[in-house]
Amino acid sequence: MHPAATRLVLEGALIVGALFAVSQFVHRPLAIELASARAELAGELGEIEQTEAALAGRVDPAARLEAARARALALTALSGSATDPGALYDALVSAAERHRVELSRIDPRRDARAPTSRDGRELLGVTAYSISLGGEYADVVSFVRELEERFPLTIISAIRFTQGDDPARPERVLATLETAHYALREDPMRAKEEPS
Amino acid sequence: MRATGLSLVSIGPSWIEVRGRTSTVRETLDPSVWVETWDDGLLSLDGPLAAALRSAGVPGGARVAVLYESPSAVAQVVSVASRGRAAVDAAQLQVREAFSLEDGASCLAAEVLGEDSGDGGVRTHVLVVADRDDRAQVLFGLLARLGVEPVRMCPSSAPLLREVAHAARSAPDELVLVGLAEACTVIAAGGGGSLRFVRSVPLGSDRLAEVISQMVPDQPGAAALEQGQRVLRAHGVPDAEAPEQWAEGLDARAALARLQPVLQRYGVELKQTVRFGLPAGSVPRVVATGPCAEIAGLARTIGRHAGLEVEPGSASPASEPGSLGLLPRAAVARRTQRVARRWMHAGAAAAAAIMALDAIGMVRQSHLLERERSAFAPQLAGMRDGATLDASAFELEQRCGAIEEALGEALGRAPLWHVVLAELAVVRSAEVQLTEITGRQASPAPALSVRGLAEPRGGAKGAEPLALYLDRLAGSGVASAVALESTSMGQIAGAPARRFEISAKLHVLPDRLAWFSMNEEAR
Repeated sequence: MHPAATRLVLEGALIVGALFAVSQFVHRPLAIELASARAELAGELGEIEQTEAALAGRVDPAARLEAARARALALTALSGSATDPGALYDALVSAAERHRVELSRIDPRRDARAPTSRDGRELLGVTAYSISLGGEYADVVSFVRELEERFPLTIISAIRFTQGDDPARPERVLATLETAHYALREDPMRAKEEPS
Repeated sequence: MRATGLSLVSIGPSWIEVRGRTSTVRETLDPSVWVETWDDGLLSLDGPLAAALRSAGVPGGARVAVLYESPSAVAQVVSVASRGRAAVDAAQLQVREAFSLEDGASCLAAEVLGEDSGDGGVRTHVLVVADRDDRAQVLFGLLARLGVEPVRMCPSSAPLLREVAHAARSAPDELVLVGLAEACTVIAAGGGGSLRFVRSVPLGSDRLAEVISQMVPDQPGAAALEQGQRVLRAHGVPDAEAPEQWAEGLDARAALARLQPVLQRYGVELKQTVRFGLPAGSVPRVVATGPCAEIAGLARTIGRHAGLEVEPGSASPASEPGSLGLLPRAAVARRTQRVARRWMHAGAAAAAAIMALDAIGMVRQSHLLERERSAFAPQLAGMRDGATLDASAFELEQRCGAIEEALGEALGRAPLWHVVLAELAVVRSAEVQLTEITGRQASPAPALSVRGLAEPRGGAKGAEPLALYLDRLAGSGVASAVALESTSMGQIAGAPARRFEISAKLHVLPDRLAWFSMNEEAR
């Protein structure tokens, strides 16, 4: 090939190479960046559309969360000291004294089980007692009322009242109460997902 | 400046002429050394041509057209019986064969002057110029050495051939034109839109001037020739009636005697051309034209020698090569490469410009997209926050729901025992004594069992205390399905009594959790 033609070919190759280099190092990144920006924009528009559709007709999320928090706080407030047997014992003794009821025995029960959630989580803790006591019928009923009204999340699962054996005190009864005191194992607002 | 925008350089055996931007400069050469000048590569023309270019105001690097004569330059009109490209190829081949120009060592160019259609079919008249490539290269080298760029080089007779052929062809009636120039004579016959023939004869007025110059004593060749040209232009061709002291001291008779052979040759060339080119017996009108047509007495003298009446015509303007031109093969290759390089650069520039525009467009689009994104970014952030809040609320609701469900299950089936116990006391009369009360959670409802003793008295209306107790208990609202399970006889304080056992189902609170909540609030 003639030297001039060779030079021309080399020059052409150089120009093509330079254009290719510019294309690769300038043009292509710009194209990728633009495509990425387009994709991000499309994604964000889709997200807006989906979120709008999802939130359409719903309560204001902030209000909804506030309501849920209030609900959780109420539940937390209901939860008592069932997981603290000492405090519960003290409360029982105090209540008995207030209602002039003689506590003869307070035996923990092992058979009580707190229900679990549908996915098997143990959301509640339970402390259960078998309480033997004696006193005037009205006092015992009053004591029972306090247990049911004042003790948080407490139920009496079984009762047994028998007549006292002192003929001088015909209103005296002996009673056995089986109680269950429930409490939330965790604050709902701080609860973590437990493995099912 | 030429009409084409190019300066014109004309080089012949006896002249160098440059028509530049500012003026036209003509230098007379000695024609006797013409062949040697070419053999020496035109080196001897460097000085005169450089001076002429300078004087004519042709700047360095200027593009010029060149009219030239060389020992091998050819300009000929060829008529071929074909059309278009085929006619051009045939004409070039004919010239190459006629002048023994080798394919690889010559350069040719052609221009179609016109087509005639007649009984013999189509004839295309093609003006062909050619030269040996080495000669063209020598001339190109001369101009390149002097810093100008020849864009086309054309034998000097070619423009006259074109003009005379066109004039003859476009004449309304049959006409023979004799184009008289310094270096050649062109004879053409035609009329009514057709061209019969065109012929170029290498015989020009410079030959007459050269003969006259030979009569000038003690003058170098070029100066004598210049004087001869001046005499010829000023006084024309002498005739028998011319005074003895004809011009600038020259003897008219002696001059005429010396000019006779040249004039006779003019006449013979014209006569023979007309004789062989036109039908026998035709007496055409013959008109002189060309740059030397106005030399006094020349046309008439040529006519007398040819036996024809030649009308002196007006001198045509200075000839230009037009688009016809030769270039040496190497120059053509360089030009082709230069053009290819220009196109390549133009293509690269265009590609770069397109890429740049595209890149600018992409950057702008990116900015627009970014602006668009930033415009609804607060909305999106708000929505994301809303969605996050909603998800948090949902999660918290789920947790609360699960806890409430578990609590509902834990608390749901227990009655309010203090209400039941209080009610048992309220509905009891003094005739009924309770000895044992048991109750327990059970499904579907808590179960109650009451044992005791009741006084057995009563009346016809069932006012027995036990029956009354049963009715009251059933109507108390805390129990349902109240049933007397068993009775037997017993004693109360030594008196007979009914021992009984009652069973019942207890009502439960529908929503114990709400009840707890209510109590919590009350606390």
